[in-house]
Amino acid sequence: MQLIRESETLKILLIEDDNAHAKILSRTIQSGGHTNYIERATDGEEAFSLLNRLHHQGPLALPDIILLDLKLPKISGIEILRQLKDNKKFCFIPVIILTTSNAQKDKSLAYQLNANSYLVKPDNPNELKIMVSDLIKYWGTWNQTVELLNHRESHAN
Amino acid sequence: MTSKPLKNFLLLTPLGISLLLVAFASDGLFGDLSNYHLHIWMDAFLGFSYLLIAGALIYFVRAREDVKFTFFFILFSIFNIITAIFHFFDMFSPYWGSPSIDLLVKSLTAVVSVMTSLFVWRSIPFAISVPSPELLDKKNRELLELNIQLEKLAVAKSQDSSQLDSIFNSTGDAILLKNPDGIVINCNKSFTELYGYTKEEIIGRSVKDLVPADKYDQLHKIMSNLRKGKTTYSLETYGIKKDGTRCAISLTVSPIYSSDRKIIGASSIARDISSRIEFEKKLSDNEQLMKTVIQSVTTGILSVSERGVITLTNSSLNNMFGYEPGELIGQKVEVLVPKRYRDSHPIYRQAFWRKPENRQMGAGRELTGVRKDGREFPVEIGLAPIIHERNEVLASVIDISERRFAENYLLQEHDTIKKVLELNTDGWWDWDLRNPKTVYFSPSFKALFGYKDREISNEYASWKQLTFNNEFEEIEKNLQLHLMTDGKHPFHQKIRYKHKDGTSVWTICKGMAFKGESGCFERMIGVHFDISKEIKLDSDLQRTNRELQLRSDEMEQFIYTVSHDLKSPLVTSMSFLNFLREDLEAKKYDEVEDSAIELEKALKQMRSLIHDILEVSRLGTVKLLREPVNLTHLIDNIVQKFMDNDSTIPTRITVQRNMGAVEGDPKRLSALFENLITNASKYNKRKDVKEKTIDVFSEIKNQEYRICVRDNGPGIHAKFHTKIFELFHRLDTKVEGTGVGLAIVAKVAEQHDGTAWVESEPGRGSSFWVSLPMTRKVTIGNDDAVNKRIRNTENLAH
Repeated sequence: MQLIRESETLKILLIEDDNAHAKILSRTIQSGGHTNYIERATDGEEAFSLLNRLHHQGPLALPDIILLDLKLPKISGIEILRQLKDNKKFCFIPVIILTTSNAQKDKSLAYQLNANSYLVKPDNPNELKIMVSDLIKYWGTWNQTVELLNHRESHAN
Repeated sequence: MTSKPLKNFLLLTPLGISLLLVAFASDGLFGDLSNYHLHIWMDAFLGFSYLLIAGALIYFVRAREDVKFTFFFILFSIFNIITAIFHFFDMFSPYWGSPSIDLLVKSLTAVVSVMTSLFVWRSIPFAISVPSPELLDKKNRELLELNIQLEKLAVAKSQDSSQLDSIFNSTGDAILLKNPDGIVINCNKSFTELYGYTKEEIIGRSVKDLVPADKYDQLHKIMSNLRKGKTTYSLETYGIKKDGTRCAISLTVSPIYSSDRKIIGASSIARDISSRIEFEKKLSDNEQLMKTVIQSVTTGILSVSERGVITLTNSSLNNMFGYEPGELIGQKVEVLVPKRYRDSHPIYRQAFWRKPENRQMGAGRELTGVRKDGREFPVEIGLAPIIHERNEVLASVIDISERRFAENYLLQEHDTIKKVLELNTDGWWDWDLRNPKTVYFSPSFKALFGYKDREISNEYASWKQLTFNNEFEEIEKNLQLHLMTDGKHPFHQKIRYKHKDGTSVWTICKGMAFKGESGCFERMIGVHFDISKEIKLDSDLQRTNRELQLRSDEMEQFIYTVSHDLKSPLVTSMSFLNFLREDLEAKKYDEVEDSAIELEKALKQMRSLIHDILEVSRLGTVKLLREPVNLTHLIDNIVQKFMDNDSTIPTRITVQRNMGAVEGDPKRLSALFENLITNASKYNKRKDVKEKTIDVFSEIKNQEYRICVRDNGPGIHAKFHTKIFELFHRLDTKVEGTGVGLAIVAKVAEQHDGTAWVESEPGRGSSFWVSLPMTRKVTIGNDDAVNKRIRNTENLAH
């Protein structure tokens, strides 16, 4: 039984209304040499319809990480976060807030709503590269770590 | 024994005895007529005479039964008999010659003679009073005459004689009839009652018995005068009752005439006046007492005749007005009145006599008296009419100079306090705790709430009416606390009053209760200080605080948004610049063009954002202009500029003609409509319409000027209708924009006391409305309006 997935490919859902930012993130994520798959939604509605579609395809079709901007039209990023974490279908997916705002109130609100991480987009491109690289390394293996831990517990029992 | 034999016996017996004794003494009758014989005969005659007299006396006494002093007569008889015996003995003395017997007889005779003579002297007054038979006869005839007269009278008045008799007996006056000599001949019933005699007792007695000894002269005089023909006597005198006591009577004595005008008697009518005399004495005593009282009281008293002449003054009045005792008597009362009132005083006097009654003089006027030396002084005068044959008014005069002085002093004192309170407080009340319904509210107190003095009655209830519902309970509670704790708990109260115009006036009321002489609280004074200004300042401060808080929140939002929205294009531009460099280094030119475009877009975004931010901040800081703005003209200009800049976009814009003018800041209103028109064009990306249309028109509704910018764009869902006006809020991020435009629209509308809103449905286009008030009040620099607004705000706040 293969506990750790061989594939290094991560499925990432990027919820970002700004085209330029989406482009930047996509290129940065891809530039690390990993063949990651990025899906993008420009707002909450789009994101949920996508997620529901993927859910129908099976649990494995769901993204490994969700990168969420806070300042979004129509439905705010915070509201999307709440809905994601309230939904049993998607609540296990790590949600990383990726925003330009470093306001404390946004940060605390996000963590209260069980955001998995809160990252502020740096205006230094190198910093951005490192940040993205780290988050993929860490959160990319998150699910596998959880599975491993679950497996060990069941064996111990 | 009958009178005749007795008479014979008394006559013959002395004769017999005398003759017998002569025979014995002379030894024979008609013997020797010598001297001796003559002696015997003479003695015999004397003895005979004496015996005869004694007999006569005995006879007389026996014959007249009414003779008084019988003893005297008997004694006299004995005297005569003994004298006779003495003479008889003398006849025999020559024979027996016994001196002892002679002496015995003489002694006996002397004793009886002395006794008789004494009796005779004693009986002289009686003997005098005994009328002579002629007189008696005359009297009897007169009496007879009188009786005849009376009978005649009785016959003549036979018809009403019984009536007369009844009057005679039933009258309360005592009537007595007497003859001219004062002997009572008749009396009536009242007489018997008054004097205590029965009729039988008094008739025949002299009126002297009815008169006290000291009045005999008077009686005598009256009787003699009556006899002389004086007709009637009226006098007040005393009578003597049967029991010897005196009684005061009013006596009228009148003569009674016979038919031939001869006085045959007198009638006396006596009336018991003892009670009247007593009453008069009391009256006189009272008068004396009154005189003493009048003279001794400190009140000035004077009596004035109806004609205004002073008839009486007491010493107090004389002293008060500076006159000598009696100096004022006979003078006109006007001398006591100051000159300036003298002419009008008689009119008041006459008015008094038209309706004389006890009352105070002056009826509210201040009365002034004038002294002899010309000094004037305030007086209080009470009037009491005395109505008898000579009308007089008794006036009591009190000098009230001192009282007036004290009153004036108090009044001045009170006035001073009032002035001090009026000057130093914004209003005060003076509460009479002994009569708790009345509270004096100072004019300034009433003015504080916009009322005139007479508009608020000085009642406790008014106070309650001036305060707000429920708030008075707390005031009353504290008032009671103040009074119950003996003033230890201070009455220091913040009170809100209702102003006449409906606003509220905030005051601080400091009250204090004062004790009177009784040791109880008698009054309470409360002073008010208007703290509306302070409250207003306080409220201003609160409002400013709220505004500041709002600003602060806005600022935070602003900074938050700016930090995001400005940082966002920065991140973008920095990243694409990095990509450009990487691509150029790697000599990969595929994406260079793309990166450059993104870079430019990000920079443009930053530029417009900075522009808009500046615009918004200017809205908040630069002073708003107020001038008439022609809307059609204004919008035409905007459309013109818009067409020049974006002529490529096929948009048809129609602007209503003659939309009229509003008052406002042209630059800001221009920015408002520019944003609306730009948005209408910018966000219209519909493919299903041939031509974008924008209609600008206006209407008047609810006294507002409403301007509408309508497009045929995609429309907006109702849930975003408010959100889109928020700063930096954007619905469609695909379209270039900063999220500031509609925020500017809302802000400018608000600054012009108007509002902005949207009516829209997805797929049906949008109508952006702006309302501006038609008659906008100029609010800046008008304190009253500001105050009013503040008060209204306070009303809402409480």
